[in-house]
Amino acid sequence: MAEDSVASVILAVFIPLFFVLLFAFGPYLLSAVVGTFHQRGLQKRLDIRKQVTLSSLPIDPIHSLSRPANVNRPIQGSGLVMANLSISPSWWQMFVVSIHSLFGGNITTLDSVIRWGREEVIQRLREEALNQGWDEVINVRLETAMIRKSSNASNRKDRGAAMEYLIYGTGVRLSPV
Amino acid sequence: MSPVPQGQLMLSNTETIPGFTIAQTLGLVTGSTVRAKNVFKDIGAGFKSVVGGELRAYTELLQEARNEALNRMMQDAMSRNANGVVNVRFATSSVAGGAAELFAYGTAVIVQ
Repeated sequence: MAEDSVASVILAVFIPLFFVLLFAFGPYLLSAVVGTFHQRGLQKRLDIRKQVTLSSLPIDPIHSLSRPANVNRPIQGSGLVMANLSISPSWWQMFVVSIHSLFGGNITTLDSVIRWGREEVIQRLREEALNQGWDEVINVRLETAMIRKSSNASNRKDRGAAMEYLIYGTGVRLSPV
Repeated sequence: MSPVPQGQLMLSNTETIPGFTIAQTLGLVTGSTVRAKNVFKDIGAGFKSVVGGELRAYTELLQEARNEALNRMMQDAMSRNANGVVNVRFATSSVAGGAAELFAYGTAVIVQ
């Protein structure tokens, strides 16, 4: 009879405990697994797009100089080109960040998503410039804005943070030599 | 040097409009807009932030709002009979929870 009561205690304690833990940390585990694969896929697709664009051109058409790099060809026209992107880290990443912020130091877990966001928005400007038919984009500026802050202390529901990247520059069309 | 396009406002974020010279400066022109986010889109974005990556709803919302601010700046410039705006800059700030102000400014000029 003693074994039965031990078994029933285990059933009564551990099974509810298992479900409580599942509901408490399950979303974070899901976020860690799915988020990692999702973000890795995004980076991989971006690398391919970037390579395709850059390999079709002699030089990278966007730069932050205030006049065209190609000085031999007169300028025919110009216009403003912009691209934007809002990104958010996964819940898991925000959780790791909140742990990290106790001790300080380098937060490597955010590196991947931040780097992806910046490269993605630069690639979007490149594609936008090519679609609009500009030969070069000069005076490129990149700005970052926090559009949503995570508030893990006051409101447990709002675990996401979001930031926006804006990139803009002046597209120029050069006359053929 | 190419001829100045008629009835068209040229924008640039450089000191001059490439290929033209500035004849007259008409001062600072501004345009701003405040947008709040849609509750339903916000819930969707909340789900998306479980895995991270792009929040397309926010990207589109901010893009529309920024174009609106830019249009208002261009109207301001046209009301001064400018044919170009140089040194265009953008600024974003979040006012009261869930709303963002998008601001565009530049210097209206007459080029030739």
